[in-house]
Amino acid sequence: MRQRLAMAAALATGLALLVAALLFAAARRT
Amino acid sequence: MPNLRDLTRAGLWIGLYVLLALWPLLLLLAAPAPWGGGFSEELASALGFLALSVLAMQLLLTARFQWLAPPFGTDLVYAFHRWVTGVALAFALVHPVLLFGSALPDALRFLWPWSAPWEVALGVWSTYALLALALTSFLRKRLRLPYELWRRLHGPLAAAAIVIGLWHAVLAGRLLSRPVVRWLWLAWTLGWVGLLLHVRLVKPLWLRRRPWKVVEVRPERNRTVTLALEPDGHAGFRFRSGQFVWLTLGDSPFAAAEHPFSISSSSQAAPRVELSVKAIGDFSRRLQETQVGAAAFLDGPYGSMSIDSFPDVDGYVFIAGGIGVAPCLSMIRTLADRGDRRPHLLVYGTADWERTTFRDELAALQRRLDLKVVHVLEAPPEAWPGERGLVTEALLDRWLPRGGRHGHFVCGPAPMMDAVEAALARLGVPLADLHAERFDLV
Repeated sequence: MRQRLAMAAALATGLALLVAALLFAAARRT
Repeated sequence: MPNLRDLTRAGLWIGLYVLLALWPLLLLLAAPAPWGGGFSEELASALGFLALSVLAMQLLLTARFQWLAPPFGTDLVYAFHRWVTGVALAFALVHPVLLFGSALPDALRFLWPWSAPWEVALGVWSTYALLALALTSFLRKRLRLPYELWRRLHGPLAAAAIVIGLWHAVLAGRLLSRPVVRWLWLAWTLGWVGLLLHVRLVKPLWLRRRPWKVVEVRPERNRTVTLALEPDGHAGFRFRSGQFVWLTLGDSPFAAAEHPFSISSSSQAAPRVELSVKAIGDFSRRLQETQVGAAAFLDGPYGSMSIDSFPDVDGYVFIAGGIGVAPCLSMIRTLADRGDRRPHLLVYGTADWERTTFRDELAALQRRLDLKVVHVLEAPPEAWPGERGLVTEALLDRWLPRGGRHGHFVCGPAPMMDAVEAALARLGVPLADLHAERFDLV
């Protein structure tokens, strides 16, 4: 349960960073 | 519910992580560099920078800053450290795929780094180091890699992946072409080098000036030995029962043979610290031969699993498997030393009666505390009147206290912890009342 929490946190961090990367690419292009 | 202070600290902790991880991108946005690429190239660069950033942050996660200790348990930080490697690896692998685009089949020859241009080869090498890191960590047991060798490889491989990766970013990344960005980038890099120096050099030097001495070696049941340590010429430290330390035996804290062990003695007996170690691996087997008077170094205390983190409950429930009883014993001894009057429960799973470590000690503690001990034996003698088999949901349901709020501590082998944590959740124990730390991570 707690271990899955850590896995979920890592996944959420990955998604947040991916979104940040997409925003970064979009912002730089315009 | 976790209290507001813990929630705030957890929030700050996660916020700090994301902010630090995003720092390179913020830097590049603050001082934009000219760039003629399209969306996928920009995304590729961002992912490359973030992969490096996550990789560098790994060092911070395991740098053992006590002031950075999160309220949700050190073991979760290590578990996060393990899983977030997947993010760095995924970003690092997608980075060249996006960059090369339709030229990818042709670029596959760069997998052999000697056929690649210098700045590309650095990126390939960095990725290889990262892959080696992930493989040796996730498959350590399957590869039969000894813990000491793995630890010796882990630091240099990580340093190689990060340093070569940063070098690759400077040479290949046109985003870093502006001088101001380069300087800020250098400062960011030096920050991480400073952290590495702190962990590998400053901290061991600090520990070296605070040696400990083994003052007693006590054999216990089931190939277990208790080492009692006292500070040698300094004040030692205060700890909360349930916490753990990193132990190095010998004359130098620079040795790679550093292992985490739970403290098994009462926090009221500080600065004396006792560690109870079962002979499982090479190091714990060697520990059994420790002599009184031997020098040691203790880095700690660490961990948030403690009765003192949750003082306002109606009693504590300890669920231990095998030598996982050590931190529970520390908490139970502390409660006894404090003259605690609340009712407590210990559910203790072991192989058989002869191999039930500390069974006499626990019987003695029951005379000083309102403590119920439920022994669960996998292979009980024929006339055994008590519980047998494994610690199951049905068994816990029979013994868990009804009503009131209790702090639950789970400590034991990983499969047992998985089963017990799931069982407690099904029995309605809120996650905030469950405290567990596990160190069987690689």
